[in-house]
Amino acid sequence: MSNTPLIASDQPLTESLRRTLDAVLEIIIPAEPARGMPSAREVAVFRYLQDHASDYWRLLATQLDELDASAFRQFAQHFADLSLDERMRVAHVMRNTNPGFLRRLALETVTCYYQDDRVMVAVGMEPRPPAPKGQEAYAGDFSLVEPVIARGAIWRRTE
Amino acid sequence: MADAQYNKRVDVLIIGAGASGAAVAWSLAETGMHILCIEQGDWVNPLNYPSTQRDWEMAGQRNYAISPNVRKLKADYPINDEESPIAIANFNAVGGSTILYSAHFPRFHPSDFRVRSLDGVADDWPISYFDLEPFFALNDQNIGVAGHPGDPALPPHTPTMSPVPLGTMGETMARAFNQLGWHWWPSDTAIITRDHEGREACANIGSCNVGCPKGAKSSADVSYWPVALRAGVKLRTNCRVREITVGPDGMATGATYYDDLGVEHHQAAEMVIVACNGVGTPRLLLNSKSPRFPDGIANSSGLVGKNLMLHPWGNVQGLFDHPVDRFGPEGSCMLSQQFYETDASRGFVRGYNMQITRGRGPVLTARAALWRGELPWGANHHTVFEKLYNRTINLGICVEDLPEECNQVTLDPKLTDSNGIPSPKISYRLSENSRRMLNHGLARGVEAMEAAGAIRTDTVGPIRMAGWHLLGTARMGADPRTSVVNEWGRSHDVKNLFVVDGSVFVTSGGVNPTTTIQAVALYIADQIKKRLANLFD
Ligand SMILES: Cc1cc2nc3c(=O)[nH]c(=O)nc-3n(C[C@H](O)[C@H](O)[C@H](O)COP(=O)(O)OP(=O)(O)OC[C@H]3O[C@@H](n4cnc5c(N)ncnc54)[C@H](O)[C@@H]3O)c2cc1C
Ligand code: SF4
Repeated sequence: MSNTPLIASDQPLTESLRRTLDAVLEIIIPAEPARGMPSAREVAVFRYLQDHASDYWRLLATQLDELDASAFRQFAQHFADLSLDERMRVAHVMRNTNPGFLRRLALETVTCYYQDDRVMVAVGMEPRPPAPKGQEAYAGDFSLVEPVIARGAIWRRTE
Repeated sequence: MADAQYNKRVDVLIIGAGASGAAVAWSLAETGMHILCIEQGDWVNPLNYPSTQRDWEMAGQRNYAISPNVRKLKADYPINDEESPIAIANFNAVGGSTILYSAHFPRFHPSDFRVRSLDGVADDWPISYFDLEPFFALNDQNIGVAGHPGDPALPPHTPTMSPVPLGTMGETMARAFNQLGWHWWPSDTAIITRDHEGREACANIGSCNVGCPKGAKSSADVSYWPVALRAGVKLRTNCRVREITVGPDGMATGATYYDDLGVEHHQAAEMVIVACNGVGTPRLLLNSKSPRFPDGIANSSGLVGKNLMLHPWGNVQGLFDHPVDRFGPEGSCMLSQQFYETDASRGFVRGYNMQITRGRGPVLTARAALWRGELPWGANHHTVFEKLYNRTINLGICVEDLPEECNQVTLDPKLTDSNGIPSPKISYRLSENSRRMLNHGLARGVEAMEAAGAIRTDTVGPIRMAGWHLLGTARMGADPRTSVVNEWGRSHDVKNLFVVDGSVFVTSGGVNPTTTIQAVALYIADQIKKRLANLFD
């Protein structure tokens, strides 16, 4: 059997479309070094889409092409070559004409982003699944019930 | 194995291995009877629970989604809930819906059993809180219930171990309730806070609603089943019961079921106990049609499937300008029952419970905020996220739903499960009383959040995906014309057929029902044991 995929959308993105994807990821979540936050282009969104959003993944190339075409119409340049501000403006137009594509991309992006080790650490978590270690939890001050006790029983008598 | 040997007559056939089926199996085991439980789901391996994986927040939305219509696993049966503003939530496995439950474990109040006498609505139960009291205590002892003794909203009782953490979140709300002069209390929680019966204490993993990988949450698979199996009860998994069969004398003869491969079998039994929950039980009874019972077994009253109660649910989310911790069991911490008992001046009868729950993890926080259009793209993303993450507290409103015959489970004329068995259809509308109560609860929830210092509150209710308490569809009562089972769970029509799950509830109370479901199941099992000599008379 040939190893050539039967449909083009099974192919990884071309280099140029990867650049477009990275460029859009960067405007969804840019880096903020002061907080230790990487940009979304630095986390494995591409891989995540492949593994977890196969329905969407199949449409990605066409949609990124459309985004790039839109950049060309507005600025006569590839999307990836635009400034952050210009990219935002192109995306804004596309959010009106084709809202589903970018809304879904943003949702999948934050989903992947907030599972990344660096991001988890930056938001104050350990980069691991919750189990088996769990968390140290602060028990709290149970003497706060005193005023409730002082008001006495409130259950309704039936007999 | 030859079918005859495999399906050899047993003394007791229990259908459904969830909260109630497990409790009954455990209790009856001491009789030495041959007891078999048939369950359509399988054992769940705690090591596969989402919280053992990196993408635990999203994994929880797939195979552990609360709707069977979303999960679509082999054990699931589809439910047509399009004619209901509230969709049905369950889990089908050994342990039943307790695999996903929050383990928030407040008891019904004495007044919940005397609704007609006290408030002139619905009906009184044929049993009282005090009849159930020893079984509440027994259940607490068996499964391990954490809590703080002395709650003035209930008759005195003592949880078996110290409460789950309040955290700074709980303290924040406790101070708010104190400021308002309202009742609050650390919740009774079916989670062990110290090692118990071979299980290790809770480690505050947090995501209890997608299964507890530690076995600290007292779901029925880790609490009752291991003990019941050791005591000799047999459990047959991946087998779905199609119908309860009857003999010429009108007594139940057993059940017809499909095994894992879809092969049909008949399991003969002296006595059948149904524990399939408030939707699965009426579905099975209605599917058990015969010339003798053309409208379904145990249905001479016409009430099988009727009076479905769902606890319409509201939520108030408070957003704070400072971090509030979210470590600890996610769905159980503390409650307020300030508005639980009837006060006619509020414009409705009966009342509701307020349940404080912890905020979400980072992924679900970001997704929800993005969905609402609140989390921006670009430079501001991180600032906004910081203001949302670890800064929310939730307050759930659990409204007492009163029974109405128009709210019901019937059989869908078209929809079936993978074995071709007709699926349940839910027809439900919110009563005016429930709506008023919910609105009252949402307004009081906002008041509580504001007292706690919330800078913003968001309310929602009734929440659609919140039909997790399934009650009333085979109600108990002394009169065969107005109830399906008698005061100790036996069908009025078929004297060797019992129902032990939340279907038998006459009213719904205003709290999560499972401690009461298990107390009722243990009570019925006790009645069975006491009456063994003349059980079918
Ligand atoms: C997300 C969620 C959160 C919840 N949180 C709480 C909470 O905090 N506190 C609380 O008190 N309650 C809570 N509940 C409700 C609680 O889980 C139920 O009240 C309890 O599990 C009901 O017990 P049961 O025995 O009636 O039914 P279940 O536990 O649902 O068990 C019924 C069993 O019967 C099996 N079955 C059904 N039909 C058939 C058939 N035809 N053949 C074979 N087997 C069958 C099912 O597979 C299932 O395993 C929650 C539920 C959900 C879904
Ligand atoms: S918080 Fe406790 S009960 Fe909940 S999942 Fe974690 S260990 Fe289990």
